[in-house]
Amino acid sequence: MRSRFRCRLAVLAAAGLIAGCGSAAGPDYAPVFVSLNGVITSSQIATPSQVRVALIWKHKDPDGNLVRSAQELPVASQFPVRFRLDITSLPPLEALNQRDLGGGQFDPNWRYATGTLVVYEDLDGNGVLDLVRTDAETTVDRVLGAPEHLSVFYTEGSNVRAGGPGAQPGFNLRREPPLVDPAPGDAMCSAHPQGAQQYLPLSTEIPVALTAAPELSREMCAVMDPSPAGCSPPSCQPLPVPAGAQLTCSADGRAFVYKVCPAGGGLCASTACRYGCATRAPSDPIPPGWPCP
Amino acid sequence: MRVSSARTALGAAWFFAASSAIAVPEERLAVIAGANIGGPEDDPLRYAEADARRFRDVLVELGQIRPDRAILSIGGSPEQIRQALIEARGRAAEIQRSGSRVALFFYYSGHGDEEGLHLPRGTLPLSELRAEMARVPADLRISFLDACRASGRSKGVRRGPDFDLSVAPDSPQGTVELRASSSGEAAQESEELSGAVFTHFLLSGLRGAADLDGDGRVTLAELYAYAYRRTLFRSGVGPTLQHPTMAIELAGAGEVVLTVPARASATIEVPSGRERYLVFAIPSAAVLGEMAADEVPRLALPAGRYLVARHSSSATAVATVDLSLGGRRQLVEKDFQPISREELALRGGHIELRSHRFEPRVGVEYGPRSALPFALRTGAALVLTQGDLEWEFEAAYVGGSASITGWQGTEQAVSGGPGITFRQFFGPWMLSEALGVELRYSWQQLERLDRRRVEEAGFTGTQSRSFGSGGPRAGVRLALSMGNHWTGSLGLTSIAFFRREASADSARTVFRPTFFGEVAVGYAF
Repeated sequence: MRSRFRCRLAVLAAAGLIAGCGSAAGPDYAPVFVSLNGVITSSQIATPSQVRVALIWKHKDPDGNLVRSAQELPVASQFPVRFRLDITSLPPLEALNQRDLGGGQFDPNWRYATGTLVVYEDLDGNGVLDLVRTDAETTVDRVLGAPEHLSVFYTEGSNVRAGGPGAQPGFNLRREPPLVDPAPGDAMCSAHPQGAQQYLPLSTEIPVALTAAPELSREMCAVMDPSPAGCSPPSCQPLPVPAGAQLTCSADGRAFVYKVCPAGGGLCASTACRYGCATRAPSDPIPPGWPCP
Repeated sequence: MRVSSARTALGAAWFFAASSAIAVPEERLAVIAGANIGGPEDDPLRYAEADARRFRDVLVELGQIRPDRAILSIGGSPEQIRQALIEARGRAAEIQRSGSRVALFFYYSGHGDEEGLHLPRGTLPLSELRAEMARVPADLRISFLDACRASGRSKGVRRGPDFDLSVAPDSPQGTVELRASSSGEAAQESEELSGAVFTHFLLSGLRGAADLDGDGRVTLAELYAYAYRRTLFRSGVGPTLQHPTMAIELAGAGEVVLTVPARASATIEVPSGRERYLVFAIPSAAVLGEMAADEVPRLALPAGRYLVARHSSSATAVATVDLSLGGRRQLVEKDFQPISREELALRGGHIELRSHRFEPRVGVEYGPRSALPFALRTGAALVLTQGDLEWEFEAAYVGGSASITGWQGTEQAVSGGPGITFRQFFGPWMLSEALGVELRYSWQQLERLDRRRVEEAGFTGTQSRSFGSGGPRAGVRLALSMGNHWTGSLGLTSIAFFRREASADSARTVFRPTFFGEVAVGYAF
């Protein structure tokens, strides 16, 4: 009886030691920096079995190209309706940009990265989103959906200050305003956001519609050409207006904007529209080829 | 050092003298039989078969008999003994053809009477035994009969007719028969001696206790004188007297040398005096022999560890001797520790004076797939010895560099637990198999490899974690005895650890096998 008691006591002591004294960091230990919650708002496709989520970071290289790098995110909850994404590592160094101070100056102590969540089907089963080259005709994996106008914004550096209404150090969830075409007479001759960016609580539920739309495949292009700059005087003469351009004139006919959007091209060819803008003073003579009456 | 050299030289002189005295070339054969079970009316004996084995061991060790020429028959039938003697006959003939002299030894321990030896499947008449021995073409035949009567566990064989003599001109030739008791007397087994009294003194005498002249050889005359005297003295404290007898018919010149204790790999010497010393093997507690300090204060032994119990009229005391590597050990008064007579009687050779051992250990631990793949392990064990078993408690510190993807740091732990060990002895080596439980409390100090970035992003770049783990452990250890107190050992142990481990999103209980090797130095006290 006494030895049985001792035996039980030893077993209880061992079990208590194991269960009650915390846990070790195992070889695959990766604590979570941030958890994001998502919900599938609609699905026009049958949800495949190999669904994964990646965070695609976008970085502008010195030539203005848009360079993407993918970071896999473990999905803590299962599809098909709600899911939780755990971010367990920082964005890769190559995804970081430095804050533009103007005049060609950059702040190395205020670095940021902007990323987009994509839900994709891992067709080759290699566990990662396969980005493709610029000249690729097809993709390896298939992007099923991505949240619209929502991005993950990350900042780090000694000059990044916590507090205030803007971006906080670390990961942020940001609502991006839609881009609108420039209006005749605008100072900026390119598409620009309509309204201000809005930082949301990290607990905000991220809606994702699974459409598998072909244009989503472009998210898998590793590099994309830079968007062309708008053509406006004095650096650029927008006249004559290219044939087939979409023209918008001001009511008094003294300003116009035209837009030429590329058609066709490869998977990773640029889809950015090219703008041309001009404004004339009332006293100025009408230039030859002025498109507005 | 000078004393040691002198003793070595003396030993060598004994050896050569003995070799020449045994009338080289002489080859020896032995047939040794023992049976605890006798006839239907005999009570079973306890030690007859063990006595036979011990007698064979002494002949092989000190009696210049090759192991393959010591034919052993344990618990057998009369037919088995006949077959053994037939085999001896063939071997003797073969030896004789090579030109060597042949000496035949026969030993029997078991039940018997004046007519024959009582064996499990019948009686072997003494007349037939003697006739069979006579057919063995040996120049010298010596038989030792330690047989008993049917009543109780006493022994006795009555004197029988003498053997025929075959006389030769030079070395002694003929037959000799030593018996445990005289006609009509009982022979005794002894609980204290774990054997028959007569055989006990035969063995002690052959191990050197009978070497009265101190020449390193035990002759037939010395052995009989010693065995007779000690057996009679010993039986004097019991209910019946026992007078060993010897029938001898020899011709020729010189002495019959039975054993050469000077050739023994180990020898114990005791202080002179009037005390009696009993030598037990450790840890088997088998009685190896007995010395009377006022006669011959030394005993030849195989290499090993021994408990020497000293009996005097007023007190008892014990000493332990480690002769695992052989050699000669002169015990002095301070080696002995007093012990109560009752405890000695109760525990006999199971007493281990230095039953505790403190053992500092150091080694390397390997934990595949854990955050601490390689670690230094250093600690100590406290060991309590009880015969073939050891109880131990080990405590150790374990520390090393933690290896986790994306992290660097250290992990340290205090670890240990109780265990039980089974010991086996192979000369000076001891092999032990251990089972136990290991409990561990660990703490990790971790730092992210990208700590600066992480902290500049508003997160914590370091972590301190603590956790417990536990599981069964099993191992083997090989130890080498290095004298009376010190041992060196090498051990390999595996632990089946269970612990809680955190991964990316949860913590779960995982199994982590761990292995470690250690070297240790132990001090017995």
